[in-house]
Amino acid sequence: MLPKLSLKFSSRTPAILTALLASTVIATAEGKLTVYTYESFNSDWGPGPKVEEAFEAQCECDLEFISAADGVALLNRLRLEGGNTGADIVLGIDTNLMAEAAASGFFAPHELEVSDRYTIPGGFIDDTFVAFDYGYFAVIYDTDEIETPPSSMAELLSGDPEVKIAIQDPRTSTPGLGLMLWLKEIYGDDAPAAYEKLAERTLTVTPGWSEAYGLFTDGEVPMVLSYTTSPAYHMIAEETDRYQAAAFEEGHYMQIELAGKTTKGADNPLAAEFLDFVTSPSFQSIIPETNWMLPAAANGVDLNPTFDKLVTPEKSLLMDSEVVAENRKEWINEWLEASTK
Amino acid sequence: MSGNASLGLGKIKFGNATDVALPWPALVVLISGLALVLGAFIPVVHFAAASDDVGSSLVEAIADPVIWRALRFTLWQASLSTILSVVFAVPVALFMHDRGNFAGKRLILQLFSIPLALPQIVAVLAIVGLYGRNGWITGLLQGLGLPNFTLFGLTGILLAHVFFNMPLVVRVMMLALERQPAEYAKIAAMNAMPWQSRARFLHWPMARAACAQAAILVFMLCVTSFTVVLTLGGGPRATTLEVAIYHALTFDFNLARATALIALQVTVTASIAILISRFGRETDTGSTLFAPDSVGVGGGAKIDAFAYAILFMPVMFVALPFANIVAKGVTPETLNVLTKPATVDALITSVSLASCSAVLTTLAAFALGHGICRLAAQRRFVGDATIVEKFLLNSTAAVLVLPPIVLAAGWFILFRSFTNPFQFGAVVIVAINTLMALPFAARLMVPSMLTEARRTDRLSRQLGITGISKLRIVDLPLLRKPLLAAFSFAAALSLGDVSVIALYGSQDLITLPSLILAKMGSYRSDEAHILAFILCVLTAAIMIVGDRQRRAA
Amino acid sequence: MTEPQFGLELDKVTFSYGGDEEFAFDTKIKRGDLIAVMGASGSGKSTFFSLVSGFELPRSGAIRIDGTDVTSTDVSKRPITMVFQENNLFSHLTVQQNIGLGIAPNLSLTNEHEAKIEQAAIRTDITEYLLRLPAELSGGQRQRVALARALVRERPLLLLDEAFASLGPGLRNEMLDLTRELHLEREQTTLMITHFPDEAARIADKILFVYKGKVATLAPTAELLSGANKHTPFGKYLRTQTLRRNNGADSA
Repeated sequence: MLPKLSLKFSSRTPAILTALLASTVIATAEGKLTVYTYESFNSDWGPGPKVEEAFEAQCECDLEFISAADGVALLNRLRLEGGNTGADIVLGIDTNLMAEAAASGFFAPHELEVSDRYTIPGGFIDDTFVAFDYGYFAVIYDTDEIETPPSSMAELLSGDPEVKIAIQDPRTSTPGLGLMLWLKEIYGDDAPAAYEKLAERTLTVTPGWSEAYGLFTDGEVPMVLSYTTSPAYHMIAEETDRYQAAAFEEGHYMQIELAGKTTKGADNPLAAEFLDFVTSPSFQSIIPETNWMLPAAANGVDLNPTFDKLVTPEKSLLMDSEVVAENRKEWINEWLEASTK
Repeated sequence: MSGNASLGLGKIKFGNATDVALPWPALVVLISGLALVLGAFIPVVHFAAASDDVGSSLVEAIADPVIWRALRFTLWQASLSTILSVVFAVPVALFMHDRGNFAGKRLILQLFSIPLALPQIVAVLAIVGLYGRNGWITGLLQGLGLPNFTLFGLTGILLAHVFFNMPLVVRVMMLALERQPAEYAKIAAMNAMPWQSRARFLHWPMARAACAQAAILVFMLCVTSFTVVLTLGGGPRATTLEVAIYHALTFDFNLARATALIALQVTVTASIAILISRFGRETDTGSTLFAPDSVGVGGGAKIDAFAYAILFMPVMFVALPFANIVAKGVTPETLNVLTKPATVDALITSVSLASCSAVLTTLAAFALGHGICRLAAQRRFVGDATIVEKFLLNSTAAVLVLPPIVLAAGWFILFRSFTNPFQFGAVVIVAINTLMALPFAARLMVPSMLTEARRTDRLSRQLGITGISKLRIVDLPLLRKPLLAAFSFAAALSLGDVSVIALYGSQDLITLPSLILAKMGSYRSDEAHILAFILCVLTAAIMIVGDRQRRAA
Repeated sequence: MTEPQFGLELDKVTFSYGGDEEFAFDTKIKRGDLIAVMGASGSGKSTFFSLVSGFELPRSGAIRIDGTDVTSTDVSKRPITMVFQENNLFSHLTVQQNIGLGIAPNLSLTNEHEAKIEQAAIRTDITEYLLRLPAELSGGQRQRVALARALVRERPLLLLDEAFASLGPGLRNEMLDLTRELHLEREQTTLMITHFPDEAARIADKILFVYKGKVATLAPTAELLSGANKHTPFGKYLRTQTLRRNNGADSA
């Protein structure tokens, strides 16, 4: 019962007080699990609160979320902590960072047999990380402005330069990096020419997803780089079909979001239990309509029918994480070079 | 130097000049500021050294054409932004001062205090809503048959920077102008001086120093501009050094490179700031028979059609983005969002953190000002400010080009070696926000403090009014206005901050701006608009309360 | 114990602002004298006052007031009241409070204090303004308030730093006479900086002439103004001052 008490405390007391008193007040009962995650996962409209409730009911323990801005910030926080982390679980690193995260030495193998639960196209096998959801990058367009969206990346690149798209900067944002890798995967060594062409259709390159998507929903730009699942939000939460994803023939670049237990978490039996829970239907059912991504293990998940209306890429593209880690710097310079011509 | 026996502690030897006694409050501020910066950078450099060498990173960065391009663009856009902000601000400030008290003047000044408090993303979207493809202004221009202009590119960057900074320059200049002796206006009237001469010979000399000071701040703010430059810049051609620093800090996690880039940024901007400060010689008000009181004795505010006509454009320029925010933020949902526990929690957190930093900032600025005044008293308020005085005022501005996130990271590394760093989240946020707001507060307060000191220093010393009594009887009443201005400015700046919280945020520590960003980051832009509106109202409320004047009964 | 003979002594006092200018003051002023301090602009009158009042500290030498060494005493602790040409009053405090600061620098005024303020106000003829702010007073009235504060402070040495220079001639004479009266009542050693020979002639017992950073002369007023010293520096100074008056120029 003690864990519940600490929860009540934080919901009724001004947050600042709890923050100031945090260490002294939060119950240090046996059975506590600390999960680092990104901010929107743990917002009150995100999956966090529901996940917490479901897991605490199952484990009779206290689950605490601590959030960093995004997946990159999560890994960097671990680096700043230099192995002396408070986290048992880190939830929210994606496939682009997987190799670097694994190489950091902060994570322990999960030792679970979960790979047969995944419904991710192409499957997913990794000793260290467990996948909890995935999605595809896609160009979202405003049907009020665009009747026939581009049907391929090639069409996007060669389309009317007056009809603009807002994209993100690969140096500062995950979707930006995703788009760059997408183009790289499709065009290989010819990618710079593609960047150049894309630059002509680009209204602006924003530091993060929010700015670009804000410009898009404000009607400033008719296309934006986002996810195939974005329309699901608008259809379910806002009951509008106005924003749709364009299906590209070449396939869509994939992003898989991962959870892993830290070397500290390896000593906490709750960490293994949580990773198992992450791939279970109770966790997976929460994801689609809170995180607006696709469940990694959809069996037993009662998916909102709206998700069936989304673009399902015929081909999913994903580069090997180690290749990305090795080449990212060079590729970003290549992108910079080409887009500033 | 006798000075105030209890206050003259620190001695600084400067060149072959005589010993300069720096009072302890200023010394404390200086040392804590330095400790706060070094306390962050030493761990960062130490940490970086484990994998990489800062020195060789610096060499590498200097040799990197990408960095040079970024640096060149950084300086180019920052210089243009500063020049434009000043060019637009100077006539507005001089004119507003010249027209005396007209109805709505205070409202304009209050309005001019809010832009800097807005999270950049909110302001950027509000500006796009005006000048963008579907913007109000764009529509208006099209309706008038004027050619379209593209917002994205240098235009957008400059537009946003002028929106953020022109009002700041006006505010700082107006405070300086208020020190102008009341007789000046009378002299001008008696001699039938035309407005050009009034502006040039009476007002400008009074505001010149403040204007240069403000220009330094603006320049530094523009150098470190990030969201504005990337979002409105249109592409990676428009890249600041700050983006490169951020990149090194996040995806690359190369602290050595980040430190090297920061060193580069600090060196370049500091040299330019020194250059700007050369234009900013203080003008001696000389002595006048009596303390000027720009509020005027018994002079009520008048309706001034001419002033309204002239000020219409600049005021609209600042006000319209807010109108846009209001238009988006006032919906049937507003009350619902406001009363949500998460909103209330974030409001309480934000207000608590902001009040703490504002109090600390005001105290620190007062202490610095006190030190500067004591030093100025040692040269009997004649001649140019000494190097130490200039250093006291300008050193605070140097902090502005240090990315707060690096300071936060440094303290994070330091804390985690012996405790849970999240415990100190609130403390670090308050400390860093104080550091970041100090240059603004100092610039708002120091000119007035100097003027008051020049008038009353000898009198107070002679009568033995010291310590708490001096604070209560002399300083607080006489400096009420600049103190409140500094307080509300600091509060507003801290309210809008999102940089430090990014590293220390947990479920227990969510501020209003971080909530806005989180909402924007997860499709909930409607709620984000409402929260942005609430943030604006809150900031406006602070400004209005801070500006309220108590007329002596 | 015998009463000290000198109200003010500067014993081989030297001083410099750090530049080339050197000041060396060595003089003794009898207790209860009313002295006019004169000298050209930049001669060192103000420095002389600053040293006596403690705003500047001498490099060497000693300053004694009524026989007590005050060389390193803090400004506010010296047995001195100084009235400046301007800015004698805090603009946000009432006349009563401004006078009160002379007794209680923390402004916690007792009934006794208030009675004393009342007395001083009566003596300087400003009782009807006690609750007003300085802005509502004329220049002459403001200097009366400053004098009232000097009264309540009851310090043995009064320094008037061109205190009446910015007043009109009629008002100035009125203030001079008041100063003289108060001086006689209290037998207070009084030094006043002035540019006007007629001011000195009107009330001063002696003239102290400062020339090139030194006290050049200290002699009875009548003697110095008699015209017998035409070729001394004082004589020359006097001529320029008279010339300026005749040309209608005000004091510098």
